[in-house]
Amino acid sequence: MHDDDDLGRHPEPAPTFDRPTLASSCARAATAAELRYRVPYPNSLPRVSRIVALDPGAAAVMAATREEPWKGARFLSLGRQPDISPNEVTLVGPEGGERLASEELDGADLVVMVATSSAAAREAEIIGRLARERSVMTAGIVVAGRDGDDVVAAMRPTCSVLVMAADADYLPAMLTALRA
Amino acid sequence: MLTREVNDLLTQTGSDTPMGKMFRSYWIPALLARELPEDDCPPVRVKLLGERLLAFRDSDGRYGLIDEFCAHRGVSLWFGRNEEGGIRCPYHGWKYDVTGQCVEVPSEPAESGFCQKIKLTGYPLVKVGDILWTHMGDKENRPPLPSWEFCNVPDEQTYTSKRWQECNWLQAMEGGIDSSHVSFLHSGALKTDPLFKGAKGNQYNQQDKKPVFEVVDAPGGLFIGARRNAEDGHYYWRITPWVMPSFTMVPPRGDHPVHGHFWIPIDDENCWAWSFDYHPTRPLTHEERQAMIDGYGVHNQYVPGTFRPRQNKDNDYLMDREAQKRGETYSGVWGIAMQDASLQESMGPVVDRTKENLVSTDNGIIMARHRLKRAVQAMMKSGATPPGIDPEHQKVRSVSKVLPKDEPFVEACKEDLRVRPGVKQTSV
Repeated sequence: MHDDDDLGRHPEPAPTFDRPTLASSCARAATAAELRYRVPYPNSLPRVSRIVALDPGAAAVMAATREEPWKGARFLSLGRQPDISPNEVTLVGPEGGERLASEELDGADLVVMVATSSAAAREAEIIGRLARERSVMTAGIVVAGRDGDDVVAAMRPTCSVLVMAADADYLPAMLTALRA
Repeated sequence: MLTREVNDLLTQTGSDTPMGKMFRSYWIPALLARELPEDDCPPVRVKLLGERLLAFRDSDGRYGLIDEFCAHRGVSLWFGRNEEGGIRCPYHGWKYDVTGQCVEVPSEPAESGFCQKIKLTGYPLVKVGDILWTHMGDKENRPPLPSWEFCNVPDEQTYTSKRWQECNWLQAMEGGIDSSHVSFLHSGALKTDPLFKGAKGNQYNQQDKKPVFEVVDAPGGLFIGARRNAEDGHYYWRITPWVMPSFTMVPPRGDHPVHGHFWIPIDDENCWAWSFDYHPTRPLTHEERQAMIDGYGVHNQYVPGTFRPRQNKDNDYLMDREAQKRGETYSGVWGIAMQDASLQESMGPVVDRTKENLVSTDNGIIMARHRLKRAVQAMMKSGATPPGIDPEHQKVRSVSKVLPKDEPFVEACKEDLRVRPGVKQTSV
C-alpha cells in the first residue's frame, strides 16, 4: 500500500470463483515447487566497478573487503600527485600505479566512494562530478557519524545511492547487492 | 525394461541434462498462434523444458519468448504491461523487448546505459502454420524452420490443438507409437467417432487384435509398421512415422484428415500433447473442423478458458462404467485423446520402467528408446546433429495400405511415406 492510495474510489473487479487453478495460474506459479523452474541463465552482464577509499580509515575498511571474490571490482585509493587540474584527482590502484580519476572512471558502470571522515570532501565532490559526467551510477558510503557531515554534503549532489552507516559491514553488503 | 540410469537419461529434460540439450537443438511448438491473437495482447505464461518463460506479441506484431521474471526484483512479468514495443514490469517500470533486452530502467539516467547491461534470456518465437515455434538452443546452431507438412499446407486444410498432460513426455509419446492398443482402448471410437468411423481399415483393426510389428530405421527416426490380416494373401498395414525426438503421425483412415502429435516437455512431470489434423489436398469440411473443436478424434474438450482437459485426474476422467458395460467405450473414458491420457497419467509422473515387461508388440517403443539413447550419447560425445533436425527428415507421411503378404512395407510404400504436394494420403 502506498501513501497516495486513493482508497474507495475505484470499483474492485468482480470475483471469479469459477476460474480453475491451473499450472500457469498465480496460485500454482508462485509456489516454491514452481519457482524451482526459473531459468538458470544470467539476466545481466558483468559490471565494471570502481571502489574508491577517500581516507586512511576507508582504506582499512576496504582492505578487509577486497579479499572477497568480487566480479571484476577494482579497489582504489586517493593518490598524491601534485600539479594536476583543480578539477581532477588521482587514484592509486592495487598494483600501485596512479592514474587520473577521469581515466579510471572511463568505461565504469558503478563507482562506490567510501569515507570514514570528511577529510576528502573536495575529492568526493570531484569524483562524483566526473562520474556523473560519464553517466556512471554512483554510490557513497560514509561510516563517520557527525564527522562525516561535510563529505556527505559533498556526495549528495552526485550520488544516486548515499548511505550513512553505523559500521563498515555495510560495504561488502552493498557491493554484493550491486553486483560489483 | 530400462535401467534406472537410462530411464533418467531419456526422461529428464532440464537445461543441464543430455536429453534437455537434445530437445533444445530442435524447433519445438511453444504456443498456438491464437494464444497471442493481436498486437499488445495479454502475455502468456509458458513453461517449456523446465524453464519458466513469458510469451508476448509487441506493438509491431513481433513475437517474443523471454525469462518470465524481471531482472530487478524477480517479479513475474505476467503482470506486465504489454505496450509501446515491449513488456513493462508494473513494479518499477523496467521494460523489455521481445529478445529479453532491457530497454528502459526509469530510475536510472538513460545515458548511463544501465539497461543495456540487463538482458533476460530470450528465445525466438516464429509462426509457422497455426503454431508459434521456438528454438531454445544456441543461436549458432539454429536449424531451418519446421518443414512438417501439416503446418505448411493452407490454413483451411489444417487444425491444431494442444492439451496439458500430467505425466512425463516419454510415456505420452510412447503411446503414439504403440499401434497395438488401438484395437482395445479405442475400439469403441472406431465405430462412433466422426473423424474415425466408416473407414474400411477399421474392420481390419476390429477383426485382428494380434498385430505383428515390423520396425524400420528411417533417417529421422523410425517407420513402425503394424500388420493385421486382411483378405486372403494380404496384410493391412498401418505405418506410423516417428521423427525424433517426439513427432508421430497416426496412420490415416479412409478420406478422414490425417492426424498426429508432438509431445513436448513442460517439465519432467508434465507435457504438452499437441494434436493436429490436416488433409494434404483439400480444405477441412465445416463438420470436420467443428468435430475437432468439439473434442473428437485426437482432440479433446477443455475446462473452459484453459488447455486442461475437461476430463482430468481431479474428476477421475468422468469415468462412465455404464458406457463401458454397454460397449460404447472400452475403458469407460470418453474420447480417444483422454482414453490415452488417462492411462498414461495413471502410470505416475514418470513411469518406473525398471518394472515393466515388454512384449513383441512393443518393438516400436524399444527401438525408439534405443534411437533416442544413441542420439543423445552421440550428441554429448561428439556433437553429432540428432536425427529429425534436417528438414528432409520432417517430410514424411503416415500410411495405411493393403499389400500382398510377400511385399515388404517400406519398399512397397516408399513413395506413400514421403510428402508429395498435391497428392492425397495413402489410406484404407
